[in-house]
Amino acid sequence: MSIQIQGYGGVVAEVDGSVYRALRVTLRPVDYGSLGQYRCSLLSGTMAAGLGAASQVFQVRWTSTPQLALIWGVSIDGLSGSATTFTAGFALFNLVVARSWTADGTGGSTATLTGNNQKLRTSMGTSLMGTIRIASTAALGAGTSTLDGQSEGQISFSIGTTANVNYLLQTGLYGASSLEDGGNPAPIVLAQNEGVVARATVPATGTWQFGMTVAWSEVASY
Amino acid sequence: MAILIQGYSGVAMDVDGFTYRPMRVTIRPLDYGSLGQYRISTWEGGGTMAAGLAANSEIYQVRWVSTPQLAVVWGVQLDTFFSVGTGFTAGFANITLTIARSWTVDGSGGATANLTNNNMLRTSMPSSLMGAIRTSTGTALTAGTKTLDAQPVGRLAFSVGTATYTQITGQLSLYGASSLEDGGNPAGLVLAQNEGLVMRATVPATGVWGFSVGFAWSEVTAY
Repeated sequence: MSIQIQGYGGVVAEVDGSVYRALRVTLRPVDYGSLGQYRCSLLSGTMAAGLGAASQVFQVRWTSTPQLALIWGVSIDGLSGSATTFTAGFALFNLVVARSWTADGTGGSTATLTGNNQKLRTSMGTSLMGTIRIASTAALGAGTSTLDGQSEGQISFSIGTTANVNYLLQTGLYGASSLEDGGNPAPIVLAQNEGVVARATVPATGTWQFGMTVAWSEVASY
Repeated sequence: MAILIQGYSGVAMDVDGFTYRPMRVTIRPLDYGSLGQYRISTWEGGGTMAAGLAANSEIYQVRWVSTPQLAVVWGVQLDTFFSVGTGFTAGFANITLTIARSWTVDGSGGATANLTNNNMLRTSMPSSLMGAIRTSTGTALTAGTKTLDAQPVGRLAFSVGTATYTQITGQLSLYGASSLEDGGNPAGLVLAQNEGLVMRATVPATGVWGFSVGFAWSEVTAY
């Protein structure tokens, strides 16, 4: 006996053809209900020389409950050297999950998420994200949180002494350009007082600028 | 009792094999009904961008004006950024993509794309309903009347040196397929009437430069 699959609107699903006999599907984003999907990109100021190792430079903190935030991707959008050059050496940018984040970080600048800002469709709800913060010239204050023992994504690279060069272009720290690509679409699921933090280690003497982008959904359950 | 799943045309679906026993599926694009899917690449004309562009100058605008139809934006990419015969003062550059809402008056300047019987991904699709796709041709576009989000949704931050006739970036994504949602959460950016996207550039002084942009979208009656 054969059956046909009929959608809620009454349309019957089709099989593609008789060679592979594959059911046709089309991908949709996660169902956000009355909440939404968002994306936000921030730019640092000119970062001063002498940043401490593993300095926090980008923070995303989720504070709502019982809603969840699904982090689909975090990328560094470029790391640019200036005329004030670095001492040559290794650099490292990584992304780490923060838990039990009871006191927000400090410093830098924070994204404005009120109203329609950053919605991927105007009819979505205003974002419930607690804070998205990027460094201006110095490391961010960490606030109170527990960082995982290892990062979830990282990029290590060499920095030379040439002025005004790009040390990184767009590089994924989590998501599309990294391990989950095409395989297992596993977002980082943030509950109340959890988040992600990007940390930077760069050689001495140089000043620099960087950008960061984060894409996320806000859902009632997952 | 096993049952066969039969498609609308009567073909029965198959299972791939005995190891994992997965059902076979094939991915199709968003169902566009009587509308369509489109892609366009535009440029400023070949190294025409004048020196001295103000910070955050608008260089590319996409405005959707139709209702009740929606435009679902799948990707926007900077295809290239290059210097030509007059070099830049070295410094930081920044190119961003920002959502525009309540866009009641179109921008002006630059060149607008001709979308009549152009850029469909299948000839049987109708001409695009997109209001305007506008690219700078030397100077900043005027903004029109709209409200930009407080932060961009995509960005490229890079250094520019003093060398002339230099390819400064290659093809880089500002939104979509090659970037954060790829393979995970295929979240199209959904534009309703009088909404759109704006690309803005901040570049160092003195340099003359060029750029090009690629843009892909679907037009649908509901999403």
